[in-house]
Amino acid sequence: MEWRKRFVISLLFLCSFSLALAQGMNSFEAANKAYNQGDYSQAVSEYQKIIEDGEESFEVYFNLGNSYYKLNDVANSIYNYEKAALIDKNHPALQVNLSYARGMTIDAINQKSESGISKVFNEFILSVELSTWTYFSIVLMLLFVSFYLIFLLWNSTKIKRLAFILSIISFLLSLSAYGLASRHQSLEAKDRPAIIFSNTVVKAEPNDRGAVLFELHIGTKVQIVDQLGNWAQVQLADGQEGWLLEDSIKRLK
Amino acid sequence: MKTMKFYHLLVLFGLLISLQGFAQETVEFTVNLSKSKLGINERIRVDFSMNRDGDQFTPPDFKGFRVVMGPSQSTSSSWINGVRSFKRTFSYTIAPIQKGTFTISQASVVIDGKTYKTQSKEVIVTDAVKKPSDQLTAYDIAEEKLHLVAEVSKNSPYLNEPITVVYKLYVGGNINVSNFRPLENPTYENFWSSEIPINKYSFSSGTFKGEPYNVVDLKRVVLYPQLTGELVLEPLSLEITADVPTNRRDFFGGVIYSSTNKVVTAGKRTINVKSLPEEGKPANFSGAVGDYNFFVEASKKILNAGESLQLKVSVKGSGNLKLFQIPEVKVPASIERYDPEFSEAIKTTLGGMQGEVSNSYTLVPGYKGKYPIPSISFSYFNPTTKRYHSIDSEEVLLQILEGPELGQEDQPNQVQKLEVVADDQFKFIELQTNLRPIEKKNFFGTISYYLSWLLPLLLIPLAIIYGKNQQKRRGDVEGNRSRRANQLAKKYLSAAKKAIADKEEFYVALERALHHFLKAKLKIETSELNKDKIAEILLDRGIENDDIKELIQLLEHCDMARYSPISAGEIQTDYQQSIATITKLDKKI
Repeated sequence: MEWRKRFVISLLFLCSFSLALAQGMNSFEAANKAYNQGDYSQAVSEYQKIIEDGEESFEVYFNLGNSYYKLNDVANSIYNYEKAALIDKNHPALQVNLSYARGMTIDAINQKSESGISKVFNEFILSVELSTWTYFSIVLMLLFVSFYLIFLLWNSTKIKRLAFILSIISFLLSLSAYGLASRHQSLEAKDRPAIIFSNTVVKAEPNDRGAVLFELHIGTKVQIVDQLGNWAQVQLADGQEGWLLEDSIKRLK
Repeated sequence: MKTMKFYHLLVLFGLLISLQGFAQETVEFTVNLSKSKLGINERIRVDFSMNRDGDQFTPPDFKGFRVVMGPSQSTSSSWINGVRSFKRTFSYTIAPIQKGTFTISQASVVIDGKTYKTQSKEVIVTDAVKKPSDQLTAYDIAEEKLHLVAEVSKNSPYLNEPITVVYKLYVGGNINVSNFRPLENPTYENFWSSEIPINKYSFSSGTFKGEPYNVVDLKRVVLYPQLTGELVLEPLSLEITADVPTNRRDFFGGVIYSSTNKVVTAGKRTINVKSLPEEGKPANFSGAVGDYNFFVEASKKILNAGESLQLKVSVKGSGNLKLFQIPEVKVPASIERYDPEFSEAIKTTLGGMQGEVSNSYTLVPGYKGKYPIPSISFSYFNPTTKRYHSIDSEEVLLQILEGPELGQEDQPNQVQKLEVVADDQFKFIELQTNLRPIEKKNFFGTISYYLSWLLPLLLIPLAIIYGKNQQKRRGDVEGNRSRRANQLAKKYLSAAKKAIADKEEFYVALERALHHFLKAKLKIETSELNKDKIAEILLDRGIENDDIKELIQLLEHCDMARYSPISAGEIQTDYQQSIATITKLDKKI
């Protein structure tokens, strides 16, 4: 009897879990259907339901961006494409549709070219996921310890020598994996993108008296650099900086 | 005497007429004064007139006056369409003797046997006037009877609210205005002004200070104040050429006019301009005051890249149309926008400016896609409702059907670009997905990460401590020796120990063990060698003589014991001896 009870409980648990997943999948399929029938606002509400239920995927954001594009909602369209880009930056369909959506924006901002080496280095770090760097550092540390123990406890001089060299190498590799992981984390923390949701002026100071530097329009992507009260300091892709009211932007992270 | 004779003649004539027995109209006998108020140095004329011939005319006594001239009598009669009219007038010119109020009392006449009387009239005699009326020049009359008045529609308008100024010339007393010439034209500083031209000057009748005058509009101006506060309107000065009738008559009895020039000035006025209220002022307010409509229209909405379209931003209505900025239109960066062409169709009337101003932009989209042109907002202040109004234009959606792809412009190779066009339509949604929970927790940086990363390092000090322990053990000589001896004994003498009860087998095992030991240590087969050879090899290895002797003795003992009786105690001693020897040798080799 005992085992049967346990079986039923675990079955119930599995069911509820898969039910939640299935619900998300149902919404996704319903939304896709609505999109295909041209009912874009219905599609938007179905996709949003998935996100409100605490689930996400590249495709949900991408499809949501498409739906908003069809509804001519520039800011929301770009916002969701950028959300998708956070998951998979190099998706070919995303790049095409994002360029369509960017065409609807008013602001023309030139990309500032970063210096070559640091860009390549940062891109390399970001191309590997943070968890990978994390596990690398742990595994390499374990390797170091075991090699060092071999070095300490083995009698043969040959093996001792080899173990010592290997242990030093894996120790250094573990340290650099840790360094890259923390660099990855700080790069991600520094990357605080946001999308302009209402046309706004960018001021030189975080108050109403500040001189107006320039104007930004919906759909433009900015990087948040700093914050003071309900003002956020933002940086454009071309390096210009200024302060704007927090409620005119929506953060991507 | 002469007059009397004339009088009789007239009476005779009158009798003749009355004999005709013509219509008996009502008798009127009235008095008429040339003015009722005069200076003491002036004169006044009193006329008594009757419309029927009468007898026994008795003038009043003119108390307080002296008769300067008169009575003079004039009679006129006429027949018009068979109707006879008759008028006889007795005129006196009198001058006052002193100041005060006097009464010219009744005069009487007898007509057809009835006595008629005039009403008595009051005359006020004041101080001497400078110029007695009978000496007035044409200029004096012109000054008295020509007035220029500026009528301002509003004394406290809002900034940019239109006001009108109409300059009116009042002309009285049969004066003819033949010409006018502006001497000083106001420049209307701090106002935007527009003069409304007058094509034809036409007189109309009006009153000025209660007296009837002829009025003509000479100049009409619409003003839009451009500054707040008290603004001064400069006066308008005109030199007017006027023909003033004189008392003289020409040969034909016509009035002789005398011409004179007169300068009239009017319209020095202070206008208090109110500033627009700050309350509810929209951020994008650009100074438009009036009542407007606002439109943004595109000439076409569906086109191909490279074609051009016109986007017209227009403001229609009434107000200060020329005096504000039309809001600028913002277009997506990928659409080329040229500077706007400004056009206006404005009519200025007394009510202000009316019509339309517009900016027409030429747009050339460069890439295909959808381009919404966001709505723009236009704000204005309506002075009649005293409120701000905002109009948002409708969003215009441009659809570019054919053209290159946005984001492809960086590709230098034109051919390649054409190839990818077909592929770069707007992509359809993705149909497969793997949902995952949004909340992600980073393992990196947590305590458990640091524990699992650094904890293995603890193994190293542990290992070192373990190694130290080993060292210590090695340092303990006595214990070491016995342990080592035990180890060696275990290794080589285990067989011997097992056979410790059987004398013969014990010594065979012991000998084998010793040879095994030597074999392991010296790496030579010693069982084939005799004892001298073994001693020699051991000596070569630097083993002391005593130790060698002990080993040789042991080996000899083994040989001997096989054939001679030996007690159990001896076996035990030999066993111990062999352990000590092996341990000693092991250390030295």
